[in-house]
Amino acid sequence: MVTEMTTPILIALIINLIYAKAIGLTEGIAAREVGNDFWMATLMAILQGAVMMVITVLLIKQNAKEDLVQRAKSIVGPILGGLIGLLFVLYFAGAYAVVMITFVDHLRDYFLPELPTIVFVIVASLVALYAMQKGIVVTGRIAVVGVFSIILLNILLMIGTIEDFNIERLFPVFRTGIMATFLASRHADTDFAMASMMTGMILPYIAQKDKWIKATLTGVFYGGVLVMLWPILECGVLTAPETGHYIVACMQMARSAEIGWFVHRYEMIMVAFFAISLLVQLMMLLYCGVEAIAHTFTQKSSRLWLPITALFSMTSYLIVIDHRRTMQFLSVIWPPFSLAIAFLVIALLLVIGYVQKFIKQRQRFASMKKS
Amino acid sequence: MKRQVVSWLVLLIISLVTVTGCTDSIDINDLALVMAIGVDTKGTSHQVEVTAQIARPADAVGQTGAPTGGTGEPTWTAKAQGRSLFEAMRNLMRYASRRIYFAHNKVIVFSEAYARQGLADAIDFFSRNHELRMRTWVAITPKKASDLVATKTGMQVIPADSIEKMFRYSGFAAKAPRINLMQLEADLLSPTSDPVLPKVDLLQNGLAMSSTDKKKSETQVELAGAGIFERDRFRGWLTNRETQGLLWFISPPHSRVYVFGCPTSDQKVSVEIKKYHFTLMPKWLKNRLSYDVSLDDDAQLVEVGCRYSLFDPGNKKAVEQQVNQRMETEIRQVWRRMQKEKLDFLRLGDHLKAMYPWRTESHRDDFDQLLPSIQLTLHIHTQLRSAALLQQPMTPGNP
Repeated sequence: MVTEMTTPILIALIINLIYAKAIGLTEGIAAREVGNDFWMATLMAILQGAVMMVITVLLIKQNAKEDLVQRAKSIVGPILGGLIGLLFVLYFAGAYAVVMITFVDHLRDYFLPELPTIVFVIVASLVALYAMQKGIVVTGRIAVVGVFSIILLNILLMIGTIEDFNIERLFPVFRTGIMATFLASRHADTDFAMASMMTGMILPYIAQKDKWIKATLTGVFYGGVLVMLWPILECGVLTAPETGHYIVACMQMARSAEIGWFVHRYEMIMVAFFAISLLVQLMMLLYCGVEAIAHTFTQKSSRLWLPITALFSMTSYLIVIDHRRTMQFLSVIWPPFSLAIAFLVIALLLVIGYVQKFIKQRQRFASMKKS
Repeated sequence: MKRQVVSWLVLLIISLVTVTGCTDSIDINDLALVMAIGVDTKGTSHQVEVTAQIARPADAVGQTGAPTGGTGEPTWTAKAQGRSLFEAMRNLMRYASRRIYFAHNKVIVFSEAYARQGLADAIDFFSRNHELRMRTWVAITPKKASDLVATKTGMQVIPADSIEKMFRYSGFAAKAPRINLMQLEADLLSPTSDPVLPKVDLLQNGLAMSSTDKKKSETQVELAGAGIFERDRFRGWLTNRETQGLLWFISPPHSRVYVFGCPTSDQKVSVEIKKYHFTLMPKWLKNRLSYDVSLDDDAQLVEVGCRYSLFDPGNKKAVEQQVNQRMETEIRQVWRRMQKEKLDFLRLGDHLKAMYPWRTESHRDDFDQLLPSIQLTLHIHTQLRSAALLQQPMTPGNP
């Protein structure tokens, strides 16, 4: 069912995968950690995200027909590769939960506080399941719409808050130190990690292999720029302490926008724009999770749609039901787990892949010399 | 095929229940739209008293407020008590026939007595509430907050709308700072700044159309200065002059009016300041902190009751000097008050933080103690550039 996708769609998918969680939950967590250096932390994360993306693309480029799980199996063998595949499945389950937290916290806390949490999880998962049934090409097209809605959202917010923007609030930079700011960038790194892991799973379907690095870096750059506007505005309008006090800082920002005088409950419009990006994230992470488990156990992926959706939804529900658990997961558990897989495991596979290639080349060279 | 149809049907039924927007919905007729909230203490018993001005949409229709709903009153005011703000709000529902809804609230007024006990829990409550807008105006009154909230004031059908517009356009009157929930929260969380709130009071001389014949006055809500806080507790009121000095620092006015006596008669000359550039620059030299305040403004003659021409260089200079002097007086007065109270309601610490982050950090906890020793250097430069539409004043018998 899957056909080839174009690089603009890949760029759109990357932007969507970075955006939704990064503008709200991540900024609040980082602001609590490093005060008004949280915008610098996001800036640092863009560079680190670019590095993660390049590593992932180089790994897939070693054999352009294989995704991350297949590459792991080819490099370290079926058993160890299978274990790494399971790690990837765990990663996508965790990432799905992270995005589900973003989805639920926005809608439940700000609009429908009395609706049972399970309803949000079921609705979002059904949409993701439906999209998966339609295929990633369709999701990719939705992602293009998502990019336009993200741009609109950013423009609206910029217009709505510029009057209250005070550039002095962004300074001083590195008040908590460069190291602390760098460490705080791990929270935003996890958002870029989601994009690089997704890219690792879908790259084999992207035509024009020679344009992969340029396209993915373009996605990271544009995604980063679109995200960057938020911490800058949040810091310059709300102040860092206020941003840090809220769980979903971007909604607080929307609730405070000048535009709210004219468009009452402006955050509702914001969520409408932003939900596309969120749902694209859920669709892609579910797709990647299903593909990862299918390739780990060499199964047909369509058979796994329902059980994996149920499994991911249940895991997400168990986390999202409790605010304390949610924040513990997002700020303590998720960053090291996510970065260990998206950066360390991928980098390790890349290095082993290169070493194997080097050894094979030398062996071939030696055998050619012999003959 | 049959399996596919069944799955689609199941999906359809689930979608009907979950995504049609009916779940968790509340009909607008079941909502009590709160337009203004007043928070008081109840006697000496540490009880909180909440007064809510609630709109009656059926009676508030049309620009004239022509009643269609029966009572002719566009608002209904309700009062309830509780041990905390939230409990008091919930107690409103003991007799309110609708569900209390805060999303349209325009203003929150605290009484002085309540503010003396501290606003932290109230700000926390209002910030946590997802319905409230962060642009809701916040004010303090020396009277009972319930009296202000219950007063019919201004030109709008809903009194809270009048108060909201009064704040929105208060930059022209320049009698009180404009502070909303977002700004109050930022001041409260700032490690150095102390909050300041606009003072609202009841004015007895507003005339209502219906009462002009009877020469009877009607109470109106007015902006009347500012109240300063130490952290979240009310400390005192600023005088009118101090408030006007304060505005340059924290709530830039849209325009300012200065009135002087004519040099040759007992008539008056009025000058309006519309364009200005205010900068505040901290300097830390030889362990001494000082601030350079620079105010460059363009003045315009707007009302002249005597023979006075802008084209006479002596006249021009005299007015410019008087404006400079007035501005300097109000800025120095508020500065002295800040030093006397040792409260950073001028947000000096926030400016310092941007320029000298490490020094601010070392004085994070005792910045207030530093205030009395801070020096102020003022550079005020007024240019009288315009006489509006007239070349010469309209003086009787002088063609």
